[in-house]
Amino acid sequence: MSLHLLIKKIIALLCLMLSLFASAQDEDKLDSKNEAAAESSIFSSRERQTFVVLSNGFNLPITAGNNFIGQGLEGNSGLDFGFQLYLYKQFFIGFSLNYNFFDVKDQSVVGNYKKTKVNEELLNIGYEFLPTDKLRLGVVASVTGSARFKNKQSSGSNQAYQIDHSRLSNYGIYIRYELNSVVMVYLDYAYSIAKTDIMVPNELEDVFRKGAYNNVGIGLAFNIGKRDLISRFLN
Amino acid sequence: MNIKFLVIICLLFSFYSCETKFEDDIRILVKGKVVDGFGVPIAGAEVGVYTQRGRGAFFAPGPSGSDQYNLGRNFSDSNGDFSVVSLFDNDADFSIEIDAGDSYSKYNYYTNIIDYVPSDLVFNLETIELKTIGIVNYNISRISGEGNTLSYSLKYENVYFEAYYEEGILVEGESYCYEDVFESWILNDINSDRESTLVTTVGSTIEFIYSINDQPEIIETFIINEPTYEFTFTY
Repeated sequence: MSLHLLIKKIIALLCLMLSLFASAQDEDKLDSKNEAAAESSIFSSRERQTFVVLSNGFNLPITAGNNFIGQGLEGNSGLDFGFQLYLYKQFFIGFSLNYNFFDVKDQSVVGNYKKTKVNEELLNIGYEFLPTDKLRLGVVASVTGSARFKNKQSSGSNQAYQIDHSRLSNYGIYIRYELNSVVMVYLDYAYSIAKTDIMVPNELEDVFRKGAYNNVGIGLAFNIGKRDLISRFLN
Repeated sequence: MNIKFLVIICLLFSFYSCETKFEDDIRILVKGKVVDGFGVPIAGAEVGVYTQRGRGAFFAPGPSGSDQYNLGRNFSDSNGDFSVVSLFDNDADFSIEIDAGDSYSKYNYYTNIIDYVPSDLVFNLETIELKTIGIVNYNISRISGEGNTLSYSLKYENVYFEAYYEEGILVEGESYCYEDVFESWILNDINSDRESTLVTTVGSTIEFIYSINDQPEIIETFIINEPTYEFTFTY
């Protein structure tokens, strides 16, 4: 099964679960009154528990390293779309769809093209800490991921392009500030490692086999629901 | 009416916009060394890798593809060594050009890579010799009065260095490598004088073969030892 297909199936499953549990929202409201008195810690809080978080933000990719990304590309901008499903308390799985835009700073390293758009698909796991009443601090690591580098030579109606593919690993942290029980603003950082499938001569193996970049982002996130997935089954 | 107009515009745009896609997940390396006619390394020579590039015609060899794309580009260093990382396109008109400016001849490597790609993805051009261009200004004039004729020809080395390869092997029959060219004229009462310029290589020999009033041919030779050479002849 290809990675794309796997990720699509997982998204479909998550959507199904969302729709199944949407009807539980009323119950959540009743429960929340009782949970107000419940204990809270940095590891969990019944009052602040959530079911799903949707996020959307802008980011700045920052290239690094002695590889085709670090030497040949320069980060321009990016867009992130994220989905997190809280399985048990603050432990979650997530899916993120990111678009990163790069300018080519040295064509002698990568070949003759001017811009690169990277489409990232990532399946993540993570844990979220609750250090204060309003803050959420999360750590995220990808379980599996893929990236598609679309390398554009020209712009306008007469375009020439080429595609590179890679597996993608991603490690990140974020901090979210709760504006209210639903809306949060966040800052995040992620380190991405792309292991490419590019066929290259032996002389270029070290440069093209792996590339890395950092991402610093800002955006909005939205809480949906007030109970994690497993609690919905247990209670 | 406005919607129809918009639809027509969109259809026209989609019809005329075209995208050219090069091969996914591959890079090739073009390497070699460029020297002048005396074996001295040429620094700063531009090496370009092209696809969809025509080969010109017999009387005018050289690139002729109007839709050519540059896949990779770099410059030779102070030792004359060059190394070009390039995208790849399976095309019958694959070409590598070495251009060291107007003072030197240009080198073009042509091959069909639809059926042939080097197994190591390296095009090693070894050492390429670019000859210095020599401009010969010549002036032939009649001083002997009306009724005298001159028939002459000039045999000189042309500046084309067009190498055609099949599966990595040079095909001499389809290549043009500093081949001799002839230029013949008859001067008489209609056109008694001729002033012109020819382009050849410094260090090469020009043969001036002439006959005055149908007398036996005389051959004069001279070596082009400077980038600009003046030749005057009277009859």
